[in-house]
Amino acid sequence: MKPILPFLLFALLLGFSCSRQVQRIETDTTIDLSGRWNDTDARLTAAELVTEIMGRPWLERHVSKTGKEPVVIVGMVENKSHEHIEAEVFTKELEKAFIQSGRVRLVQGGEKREQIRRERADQQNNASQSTMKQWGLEMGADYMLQGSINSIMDAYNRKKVIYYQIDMILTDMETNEVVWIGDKKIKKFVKN
Amino acid sequence: MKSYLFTLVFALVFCGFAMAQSSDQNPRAQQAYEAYAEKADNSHAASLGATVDKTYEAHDPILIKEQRREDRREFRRQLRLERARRPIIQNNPFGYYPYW
Repeated sequence: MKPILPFLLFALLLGFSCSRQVQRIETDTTIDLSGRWNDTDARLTAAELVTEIMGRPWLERHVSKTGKEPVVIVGMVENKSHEHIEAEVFTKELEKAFIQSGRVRLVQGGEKREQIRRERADQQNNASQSTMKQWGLEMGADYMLQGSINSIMDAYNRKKVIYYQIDMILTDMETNEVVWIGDKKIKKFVKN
Repeated sequence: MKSYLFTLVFALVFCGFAMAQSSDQNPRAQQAYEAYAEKADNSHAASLGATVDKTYEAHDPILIKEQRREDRREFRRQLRLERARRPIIQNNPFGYYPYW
């Protein structure tokens, strides 16, 4: 019976030493592990683009011309970089800034809009007449926000330099006039 | 009668103004729209708010080395499996494992 005890203690020690540790950290903490695109890059991009888009003259120009707040729809973001980068992380921040400022109105697009339309169609059969929502009353967007993500990587031996450029463009839906271009450039030096 | 005339003049002026505003529109706008609508597919809705991946493969020496290492591991694994699957020929004059 006795020789089992040291083995048991050893197994216990091994179990504790390999236990996974998880800790909650602030979402604005910068932790770079691999050097690839990460949450900090997305956050910095969002912050820069929000400041840019809300502080440029296209907004005042539209209000002075029409007397109304501009209506924006978010279009496609092309990821032409060498990594998978989900643009929704920063486009959602832009959308939030539009809504919270109260100066820009936003209309739904994509799959979510399709879902709303499906629900509206369903209401035509199932909802009461007083609560049923009508077709043909959607708000038309004045501008479409589109973007692209590009990257350049230079690597030699165990060192590499990665450059990301995120461009967002706001285009007038009627005239195709580009009214705003914003970008965020990020450069990283990674040494393995 | 006077108010009727006034309304008529106002309506004419308003119509004239509206026409002047849209006079810059291409007279073949409707044709252009119909031609476009024929070509347009229904992938438009899915593209809104979406990230479209057009990624490229960058030259990264470290990743290439890792890939080669992984390929070697996979080859050895397959070789082990093959050896386990096939019996070793004892009277092989060269002493190698047959790969075929």
